[in-house]
Formats: sequence, C-alpha cells, structure tokens
Amino acid sequence: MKPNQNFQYISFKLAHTLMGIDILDIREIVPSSRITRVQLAPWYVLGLLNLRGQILTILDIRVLLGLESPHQVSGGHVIVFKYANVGFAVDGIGDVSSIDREKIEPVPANATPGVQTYADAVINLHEGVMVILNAHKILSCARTESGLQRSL
Amino acid sequence: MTSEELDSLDAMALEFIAEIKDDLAGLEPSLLAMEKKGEYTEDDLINHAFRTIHSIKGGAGFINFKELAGLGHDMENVLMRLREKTLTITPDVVDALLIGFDKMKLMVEQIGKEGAWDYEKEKAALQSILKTDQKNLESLVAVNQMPSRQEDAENIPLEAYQVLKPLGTSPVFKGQEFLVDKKRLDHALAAQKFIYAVYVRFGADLEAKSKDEGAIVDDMKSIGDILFSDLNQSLGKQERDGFFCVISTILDLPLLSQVLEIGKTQMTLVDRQFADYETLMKGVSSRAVKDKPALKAPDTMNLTPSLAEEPSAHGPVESLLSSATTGQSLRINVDLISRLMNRAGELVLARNQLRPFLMSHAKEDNLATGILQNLDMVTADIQEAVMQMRMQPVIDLMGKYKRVVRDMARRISKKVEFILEGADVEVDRTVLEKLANPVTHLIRNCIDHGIEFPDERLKKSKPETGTIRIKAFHQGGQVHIRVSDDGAGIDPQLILSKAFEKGLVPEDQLDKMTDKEKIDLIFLPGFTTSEEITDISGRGVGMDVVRTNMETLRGRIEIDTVKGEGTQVHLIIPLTLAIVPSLIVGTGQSRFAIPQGNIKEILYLEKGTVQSRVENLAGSEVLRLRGRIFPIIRLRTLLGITTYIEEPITGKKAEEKRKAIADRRQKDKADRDSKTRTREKDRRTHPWDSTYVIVLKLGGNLFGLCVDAFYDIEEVLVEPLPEYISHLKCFAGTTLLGNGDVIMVLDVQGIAALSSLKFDSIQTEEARRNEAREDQAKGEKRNLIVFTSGKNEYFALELKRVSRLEPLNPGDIHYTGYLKHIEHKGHAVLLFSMDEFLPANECDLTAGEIFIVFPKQISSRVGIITSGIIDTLETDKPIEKDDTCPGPVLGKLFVDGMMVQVLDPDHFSNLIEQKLMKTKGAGVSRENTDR
Repeated sequence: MKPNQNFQYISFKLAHTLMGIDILDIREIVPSSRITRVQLAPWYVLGLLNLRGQILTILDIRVLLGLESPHQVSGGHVIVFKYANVGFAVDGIGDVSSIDREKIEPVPANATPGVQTYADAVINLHEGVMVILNAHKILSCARTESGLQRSL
Repeated sequence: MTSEELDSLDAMALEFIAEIKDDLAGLEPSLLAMEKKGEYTEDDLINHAFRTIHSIKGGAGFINFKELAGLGHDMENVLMRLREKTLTITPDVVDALLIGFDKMKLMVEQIGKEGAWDYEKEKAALQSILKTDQKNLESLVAVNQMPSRQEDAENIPLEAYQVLKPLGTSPVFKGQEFLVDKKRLDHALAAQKFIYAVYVRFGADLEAKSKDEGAIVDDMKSIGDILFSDLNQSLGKQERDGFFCVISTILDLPLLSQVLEIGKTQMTLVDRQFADYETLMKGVSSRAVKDKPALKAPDTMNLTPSLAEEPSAHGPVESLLSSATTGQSLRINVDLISRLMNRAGELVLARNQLRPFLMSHAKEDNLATGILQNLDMVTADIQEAVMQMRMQPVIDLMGKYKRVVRDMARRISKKVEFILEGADVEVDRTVLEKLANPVTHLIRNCIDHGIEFPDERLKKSKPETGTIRIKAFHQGGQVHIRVSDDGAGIDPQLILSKAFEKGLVPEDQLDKMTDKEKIDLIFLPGFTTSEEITDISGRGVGMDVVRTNMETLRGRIEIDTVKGEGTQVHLIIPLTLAIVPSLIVGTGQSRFAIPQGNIKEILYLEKGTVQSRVENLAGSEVLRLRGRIFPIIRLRTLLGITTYIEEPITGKKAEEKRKAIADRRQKDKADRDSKTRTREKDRRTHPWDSTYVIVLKLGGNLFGLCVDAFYDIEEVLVEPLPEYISHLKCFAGTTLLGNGDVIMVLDVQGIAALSSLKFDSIQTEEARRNEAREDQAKGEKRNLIVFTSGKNEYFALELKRVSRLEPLNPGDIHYTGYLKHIEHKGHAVLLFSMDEFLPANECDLTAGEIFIVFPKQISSRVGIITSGIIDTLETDKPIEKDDTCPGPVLGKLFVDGMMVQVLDPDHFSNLIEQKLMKTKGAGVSRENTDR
C-alpha cells in the first residue's frame, strides 16, 4: 500500500465476517450465476464461471481463510480480480468507501493462520472490524496452499 | 533511410510497407520453385518473381527507400536475364537471388530502426552471377541469335516516336493521341511501369487546390517520368481548361489519383500498355505482337495484385482488373479476433436468453418464429466463421521449411528433398506458433544426423537424394505431425554410449535398458552425438527443447527408428485450443465433454441387462461385450459426484449410496421391489436402472465409462485448464457450451490413469506376458521372514507386512472351543495357525520356541501362531508360482535346502478378515475350522 493516500476499498460480507479489498485490484463484480463445480479440484476452488465468454476460476476464500466449512454454497456475487481470469465468491456486497491510511491497523496477532496469510490489515469501523485482503496473495494461493489439495 | 525520414511516414507509406511485406512473402516460394524446375521453369514463374520484385522496388521508390529499391533493381537485372533465357537457372543463381531476398526482408523489418542498409555484399553476389555468366551469355546469343532487350534497343534502328491511344471510355480522352519518345516508352515498359494518360484541369485540379503547374509536374516527376505533356501549348489558350500529359509510373490508378489529387476519370491507361503486358505474360520476346489489338480474354491475364484494387465497373479494362480480385485477404489483429470470438459466444448466450421469450410469443404471432429462426441461423453462422478465423493451415508454418531444408542441405552438401503432406490441415494459430521451434529442430536433426552424404547413400543403395517428409493430419481429436526421413536411423547402442560418456546414465543401468529407453535418452538435456559444435547442431539442447516445447503444448513425442532405414518423429498435440467435436455426457448434476475421437462406441444397458452384462470381478467391474471383457469405470465414483435417487411418491431425493452397478444388493432389491410394487412407475428411478457405457479407446486398449446420460455432439473450443486446477490430469480443459455453461473436457488418458487402469503395462496380451516374464526373471528384492508351522513346512511373509513378533508360552493359550486366545496388554488376541488357511500340517505347539507373528493391516487383535522363526532373508530370487500353489501362496522359493512358501499378504489378510467375519457368525465357521 502506498502511504499518504486515501485507501479505497470495497466491502463485502463472507461467512458473517466483514471484509474489504482494494478497489484497484478488482475488475468488476458480477452476480454469481451457474458456477460449474470442478470435481477433484482443491477445496479452495469453488468452480468455473462463464463471464462473457471468458472462463473464470472462482475461488472460495472461506477455505483459504479457514472460516467455515466449504460445503455451503455462497450465494450472491463474485468479485473478479483485475489481473487474471480469477474471482472469488462473496455473500453480500457492501459499499465502496475510502479511509485514511493512518487508520489502517496491522492484523491482530491472534488471527487464524489463514487470515494472517491472506489479509494485509484491519480497519476499525463503527460497524465492526473489517479485514482487508491482499489480492496478490489470494491469486497465488495455488502455490501456497499445496496442503489443501484434495487428495485423489 | 533514416529514422527521421520514417517519422514522417504517413499512413500511405505504412500501407506500402505492408504491401512490400506481402510481396516478399510471395517471392520466396517462386524462387524455390524456380530452382527446382531449373531450366524448365515456366516463363510465368519468372514473370511472377519479376513482377513481385518490381512492385517491391516500386513501393520502395515511393517511400524513398533507396537502398531497397537499389537492391530490387539488381535482382531485377538477374531476373531479366533469366526471362530472356540468356541466363540459365542454377542453384547458384537462386542462391544469389535468395541472398538478395533475405536482405530485402531484413531491410523491411528494420524500417524505422537504425539498421545496416548497406547491401554491397548482396549486390556483389548478384552481379557476379551476371559476370560469370557473361561468357555463356555471349555464346548463347551467338548460337541462338536471340538478342537481349537492351541490345535490341541499341542496335536495331527504330522510329523515334510512337503514337499512344488512351484506353477506356472516359470522354476526356476521346479522340486524343499522344506522340511519345519511343526509347523512353520502351524503357518504361521494360521496367514494367504503367503508362497513364492524365488530363489536368487548371481550375479544378490546380487553382482549387492552390497548386500551380510547376507543382503538379513536380508531383508527377516524384512518382515517375513524364513522357509527354502539352502544358506549354495549352497554357494561355482559351479553349483549353487543362493539359494532357503521359506519365510512366509504378503506381496503380487509384493510388495515382490519390497522389496527384486528380479524379480517376481524368486518367487512363494507354493502349501500348497491354500490348506489352501481353508479351510480358507470354514471355514472347518478339515484338511482333505489339501492334495487335491490346486486349485478350481476361482469363489469360494475370495482373499484379496492386493493379487489382478498387475495380470500377466500366469498360473492358476495368472488368479485366476485377477478375484478379478473388482470393483477397485482410490482415487482422489477433486480439481483435479473440474479442470477436468472445462476443460471438455472448451473442449465442443472448440468443438463448431471448429464445423462451420469443417462443412464448410464437403462438400468437408467426413473426416471432421467423425472427427466432433467422437469429438462430445468423448466430450459428457468425460463431462458425469466427472459429474458422483462428485456424491456420499448417502450410503457413511448414511452407517455410522448404527454404530451411534447402539452405541447410546445400551448406553441408547433402541432397535432400522436402515433401509436405496435409498442408491444408488446420491448426489453431497459437498451437502453430509453438510448433515452429520443435519442428525446426527436428528438421535440423534429419539433415544433420539423419540423411547421409550422397556417396554414402549410393553405397547403401539408397537414392542419392534423401527425403524429409512432414505429414500433418488429424486423428482422434489430436493433431499429428510426423517428421520422417529415410536416413541412417538412430543406433540405440551409440546413443547409450554417448549418454554414458556424458555421465547422463548411471553405470548400473547400462544393460537394463530397452532399445526404446535408450533412444529416449536423446531427450535428456545436454545430450548430443556430435563431436563438435557446428552451426547446425551439436550443442545438446535440441531434443530437450523439442520435448519441453511439446510439453507446454501438453503434447507427446514419439520416436520410431530403424537403424539404416530412417527415423520417424511423431508429434502428437492434444486437442488443446483446437476445436473438437465432443460428446456431451452427464452424470448426476454435472456434464462433461468427451472428445469424439476417443469414443469407439456407445452402449445403452437397459434395465435388467446391467446385471447380465456387467460382472463384478473382485471389486472391479468388467463389461462383457462380444466375447471380450473390458474394464469399466464409473465417472460418478471416479470424480466423486453425488447422484440422487428420486422417490416416485414423495419426490424426495436421496443420495445414491451403492458403489457398483453390479452390486449384488441391486439384484436382490430389484427382485424384492418387483414383488412389492406392481406398477412400473412406482419403482424408484435411479441412475443404474439403465446406464450408458461409453466405450473409449486409449491407444489400442478399450475401456468403458459409465455415465447417466448423454446429450449431443457439440463442436467445442477447448481452453486450457486454469492454473489452480491444472494438476487434474483427468481433465483436458474447459469449454463453453452453446448455452453458456462451463463444462470440463475429459482426458481419456487421464481418466485411465486416475482409475489406475494399467494399460501401459498391458499394451497387448503379448506385451503383458513378456513383461510378466521379465518381472519374474528380474525379481524384486524382498526381505522375507521365514517361519515354520508344522514339521518341515516353511512359510515366509514379507518383512514389511509384519508389525511385530512375540514369543509365546504354549501354556498361556486360552482355548474357547476351537479358538485360541492369548492375553496381550490386557486384551484378548485371537490366534490362527497356518493349517487353518492352507493345506498344511497342524501347527506344532510342542516345539521349543513358539512365536506369534502379527501381520500388518489386519485388526491388531489377530496373530499367526508359528512353531518357530527360522530366519529373515533378503532375496531377489524369482518366486515361482505354479498351479499347485494354494490361493494365499504367492509362490515357492528354495533357500538353503528348504522349500519356503511365500505368502501373498493381501490375499492372506483377506482370508483372515473372512475368518473374523465367520467367527462372528459362529456356527458357520465350525464346519470349516473345527476339524
């Protein structure tokens, strides 16, 4: 994160947790319709989605963050990353807001390993603490999460 | 030409550059064809090359690229002599022309950059051709009395002027004739320039554009020569509103009009043009035809492409021009095509969304049906066309190898012919691009290592000229490229020794390798057979690179070689990126595509036939089909897909739990069901009442894949797997269906691997037997623990299958009827002896040292009682299996005078499990175990 700039993020809810991600890292938000499951895929891959002729890989970041059992299909939306044909499913979309860089705090020391790995920071808001995710780390989860590969 | 000059290049100049590039691309094949045909080359071919170079030269002149024009001029000189038959076509001549061609290509590629524009070397090469041939030329002239064109112009007296008549119907030129200097005219015609008559209006063309006469004359001079002008005569005369001039230029009519900013109606070609063109086309050097009527039937004319642009609909000349416009192509950016393709997909999607809406209206209004049909047709057509756009015939890539082969072979003085088959096989352009490198390497290898020197070939009574053949074809949804030569072949022994020298093979493997394995050594990085590094090969990266490249395409490479007869390298590129007709099948809620090429047949097993056709063979299922037996894989189980059984009355869905089609429960249940439920529709419908078996072929093997349903055959564009799931070998890729759904494309090989079908080892029955024999001969190293049970009976179990040994005091055995127990750490442990499983003597419990062997992988409360542990031994001796061996015995082994029966741990543990089951069920077991 570049210092001394207003940080703009989009907030969303996932597994009852308030989260956010830098708007500069995302391309678009689309309704998650018809995600094709991929059998034998790692747990953190929710499936594939056709977005205007491009096949997107939809990740289940609940698994990455160790939040909840991955069996429940999250309804709602898919946030698509800017850099790759990859997105992740969220339960609900909030707002785009901005905040001073100074108000951003490091991830608490007692956070779960998943949160420690994929989150950059937290923001203390009125409605609760928001976890700010790091898009690049999520994108490279295939390399970090070899342990989560479903055994064949 | 400097970069500053190029900065000022306008769009038109860029167009010229593109055109020059096109011309260059067309030039190479003609030059190579000329070489091949030698002195029998048709005039058409030479003329074609000549025209191409000429238009390049013209284009270069236009953008003021003097070096390129100069080089073009030198090449023209040579071609001119070829055309006049005063120079015969030899490889040397073609060499010189090709050198020039290469330089041209380089120059064009470097336009806009600072580059080496110096073409002295090429010029010298071209001129030396002319010089060395000077003597021949003179003799040729003396014999044939065939003067060259220049001599023609100089020696034969001519009229000084020639009358030109404008062609076409434009009223401006009606009745006009122009008198031009014949020498200059001939010169212009010889240089293949167009001769135009142009009428320049003082008012519209000059004053309105604030030009004066000098400016327009300068413009004309910049693009060509002014052969005639009545500017001076017409100036100041009231009755004239303009002046005529005749110019020679390389520009075609539309361009000329653009450059001079004069309307097309005010310019036209003159009659001499076509007379001369005809002589040119026919290659007749005689000028006798020059005064004949200018026009012939259009089909005898073959105009340069530059002439063919913008045909207008008037007059014979124009119609003639339009005949050359067929087969035009357009450059399109690849990104644009990809975008178009994506959008075409979306269009289909939108159509599908619109369909139900229109259908609902169709009842009231027939118009809706019409609209829908029209929309269907158009979208399908667009989709198809866009798909085709990405495909390129392999000739686009392979065509250039003609040159590569020729150059390389000449350099090392071998004689090689290159044959390309299946040039029109279409491959996705991305695949084609990635093929370029591997195929170049393979061809290089063919020439350098494969094809022998001519004298060597003659000694081996092979034709002097070697042949390299590339064949491209589609098979089984894959693109096959076969590069074969009739050269020396690969000697496996030589490969092995080279690899060993370079330390690529450990010594202990040397004599264990099969010929195929030896040959595969050439894929190792750093492997080379060359003693020295030449500019063709020897760096030892070749085949390694080929294989790596193929791997990125997820393709395979196979080598077939016969020493002394030649080598065949087979590149098999999977359907990735290619469009493949695929069968869409469904299991549970999921659908999959199976490439049609992998499918042998589709069986439908009806209710009831499932039991009769599918056999459960020790947990694995096999299908009986026409007297043969095939393994069956269920997609559902393989991929862990949940299927549901629907209750007919409640409509509830329950998860399907059975594991096999031929599950015995099914039959019992079916019988029971049929008793309790009389009406057919009351029966629960579930996926295995009936099933589809897709019989797939993998190499020479067949296996069945059970699916619940199959839908349709669709042409799908397979896209590679995203990186997150790229490790899943059972999928070849992903694809979008017509309705916008994403589905996975199954990889037949991957499925076979995932379900552990051991096809690799049983290619054929023969191979399997061979291997079995080999396996036995080799024998694995086994660590055995040898124990005895009855007197002089020895058994062995693999050490790794034994968890522990315990000494036992016979007095500690507690009997319950026929069962023996001991106490171990407070628990009861059930003991069995060998004679309960095998034909063997009763265990001798009187022996001094009684031990219990605890096998692994069985319930920990079970032990085998023995009357003594003999030894542990490490052996790689073959274990002989014969028909007399009882089931749980793997085979017999002779050690130190003992015959040891080696137990099959898996089979043995099964027996124990069964035993345990029976003891639970009491009574039953009594008959078996209580003797």
